[in-house]
Amino acid sequence: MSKRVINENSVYANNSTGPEISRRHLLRTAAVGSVGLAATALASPVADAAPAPKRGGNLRLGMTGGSSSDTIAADNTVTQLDTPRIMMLFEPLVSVDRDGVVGNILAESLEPDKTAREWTIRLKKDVVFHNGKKLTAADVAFTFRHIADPKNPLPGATALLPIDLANMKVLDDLTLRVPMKIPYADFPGGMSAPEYFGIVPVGYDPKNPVGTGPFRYKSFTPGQQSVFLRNDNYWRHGLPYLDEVTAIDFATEAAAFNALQGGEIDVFSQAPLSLLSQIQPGGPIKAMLSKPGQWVPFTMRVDRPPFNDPNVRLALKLLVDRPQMLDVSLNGHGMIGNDVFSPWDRGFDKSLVRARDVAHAKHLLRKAGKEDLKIELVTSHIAQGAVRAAQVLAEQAKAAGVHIRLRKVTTDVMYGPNYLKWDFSQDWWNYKPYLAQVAMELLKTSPFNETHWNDAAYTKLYMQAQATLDAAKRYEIMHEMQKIDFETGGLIIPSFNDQVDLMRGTVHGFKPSRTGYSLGNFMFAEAWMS
Amino acid sequence: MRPVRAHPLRRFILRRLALGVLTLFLVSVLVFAATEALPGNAARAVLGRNATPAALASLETKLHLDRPVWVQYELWLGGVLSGRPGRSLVNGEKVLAQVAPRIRNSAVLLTLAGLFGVPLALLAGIVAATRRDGAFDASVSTIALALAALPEFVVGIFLVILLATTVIHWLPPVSLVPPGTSVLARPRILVLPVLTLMLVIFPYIFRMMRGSMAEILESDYIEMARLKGLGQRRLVMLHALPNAIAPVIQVIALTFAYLAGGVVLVEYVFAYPGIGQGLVEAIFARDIPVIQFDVVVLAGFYVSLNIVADLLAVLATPRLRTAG
Repeated sequence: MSKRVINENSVYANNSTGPEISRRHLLRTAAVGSVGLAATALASPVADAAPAPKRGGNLRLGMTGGSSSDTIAADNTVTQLDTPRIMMLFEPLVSVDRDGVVGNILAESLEPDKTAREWTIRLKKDVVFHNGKKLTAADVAFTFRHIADPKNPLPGATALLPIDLANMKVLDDLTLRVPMKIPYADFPGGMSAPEYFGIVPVGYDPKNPVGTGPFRYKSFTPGQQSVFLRNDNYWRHGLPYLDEVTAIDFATEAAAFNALQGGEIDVFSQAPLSLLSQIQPGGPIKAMLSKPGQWVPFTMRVDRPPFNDPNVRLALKLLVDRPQMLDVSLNGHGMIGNDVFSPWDRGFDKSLVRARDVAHAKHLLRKAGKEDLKIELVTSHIAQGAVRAAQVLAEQAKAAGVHIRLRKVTTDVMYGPNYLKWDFSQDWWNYKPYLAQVAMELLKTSPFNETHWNDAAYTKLYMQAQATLDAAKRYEIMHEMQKIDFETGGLIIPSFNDQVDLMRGTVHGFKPSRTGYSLGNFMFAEAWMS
Repeated sequence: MRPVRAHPLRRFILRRLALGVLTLFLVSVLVFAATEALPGNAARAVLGRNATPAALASLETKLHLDRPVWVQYELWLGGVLSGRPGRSLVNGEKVLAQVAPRIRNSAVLLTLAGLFGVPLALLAGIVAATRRDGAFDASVSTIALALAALPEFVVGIFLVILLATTVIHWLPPVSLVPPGTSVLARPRILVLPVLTLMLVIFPYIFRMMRGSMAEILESDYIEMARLKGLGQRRLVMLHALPNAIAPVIQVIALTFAYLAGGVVLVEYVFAYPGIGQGLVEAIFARDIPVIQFDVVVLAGFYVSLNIVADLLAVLATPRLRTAG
């Protein structure tokens, strides 16, 4: 999951390059308008009466958010389009599945010892890389070192921090023993983000992108298009159905939608939710609505005034009218959130529910001596509905006399030098298991600690949880942590958001997922065309 | 051409060329400065949200982004002058290899638009002038006025709705070209962008041709020729046109110079893999060598067409031709 340009709005990142850009802004507005006009006649979904899958065909995938910094380097996605590309080529040991449950991919089993300080990874038999080499334990050790390389740490490095890299041991061809420096009970959950933990062969060279995935590399032109061919030796026998996948970068959502309507592409992944209303039954285009996976939190820095006072944080959480925010920002396409992430984790505490309470919020603000609170919220088109949600929050907060001034910036400013330093801002995430998300965001060592959360009691609970192999007991500890998130944490999570993929009626086999990864976790292996 | 005349003309050309080179230099400095003024840099664009301070610092060093601005500019200028415009900061490809196919694609677009658009506009202008205030003149003049008022992208989007996505589905609404293949391999994708550019250049050339021709047709020598009983066709094509076309030629050249900017928008609408689209992308990635190269090419095109326009004006006007 990269955190860069995510929708077409954000592509228009700058307003400081003169008249060219302002004309492009016009262009965008006009082009989006034309989508509305253009859509009515053609678009419409088809009841997917799935007959038996058919072999063959070239699926043309269109997406926005790519750029000339696109990459196919394993485990180092940069742009939105990198994720599906990399997930075609490379596969992880384990991954969140469509329901957000962590399951084995290349791993046959992962077994911890009694203290969770040593894990034994056993690999599936007869998995081969695209170059014909067999997958072995040595490749896994190489991949871990590649990701966690202290000289060039990749985004997944944090999740591998506990590993004692120097003392990993290949027990046999398919078995690797992984000692940990500290207990790591949720090691599988930690490395369940598929785009960051793809296994590469020993001596992997980014110029020769060889993985075990359902498709192998044919060509790649950053910012334009890339072609992948069927991996005839894929370990899931009979798959994939498609001969070829072509991934095409689009600069604007309007162009991508036009291309879909004109039959130039077969799938427009991560389309704007606003296009849903244009899709009518009976036409050549259908929509696949994924279940809520992505979330766009408001982030309050707990080490800086006014949010260093927990009363202020809680007051803001209480001021959010979540159903209204979801309705306005995403036409209701999502699920209400209650300031705690990872709703699909078995250790998620469903009892933590928050309703709007203006009176209580006012009381808390009085208690904090902040009756007349004026704050600035930095917002940007980082995800669908993000800016609208910020606007709604500013409106809703007025009920308690809180004046939120919106500072709308471009995405490159948002993710520029001040990223992770804004006092009050937003960010976006895909689904991760709870403890894995904590490691990414809420520990002192976390790479994306937007709220500067560094709570000794909380960290202790985290360490305890990671040292607890008994799932039920671990969930109890996680519940305690979630109570802290809920009461005093710096994140406001108003909702978990749907995403939509648009595709021609001839495309089958994709199933909705609730992880935030589109196209059913980009499951190209199971897709086919009629 | 007699040697007496060659001298002032050559001086004129040399002066314009020198000014053109100076313009290009200033453009490159300005664009470089503007890119520097944008928030962020290529290293940040490449790393995105994964830009940890350590990763950022190491990449900035690798790309020379940690050096002072003028040193970076000098590095770039030195490279260009020695024929090596460098490599893309973002993906390490050679700038030339990356930009050349795009330039070719844009050139195809412009050439086709000129090949079809210019004669069409000239012909319409001549016909409208000879039947002034008739039905043809009135309707085409109105359409031309409307077209002149519309920005390129509106014309493009209108054509997409009309011919590709909504009204009829004849043509591909976007111009997808597999990298490494020629746009000419799939002529269908060229139709809409070329048509858009044709409509964009039409009003200026048409109105100039019409006005110029109408003026000439009212002049005394045409009146005389007409009285002598010359046929209308012969009169217009042989006697009026050579005099009427001179100012139009200059407008044609200037229209194409203007298209150097317009092509950016049209390519954007159709996702056409030309230099304009490449420039937009490079700007978002803060890919300075690519931005600079694209801009210098576009500005060079603009400057040379302006020189050509002036030259044609001089050649077509005896007074200017001899004045030096």
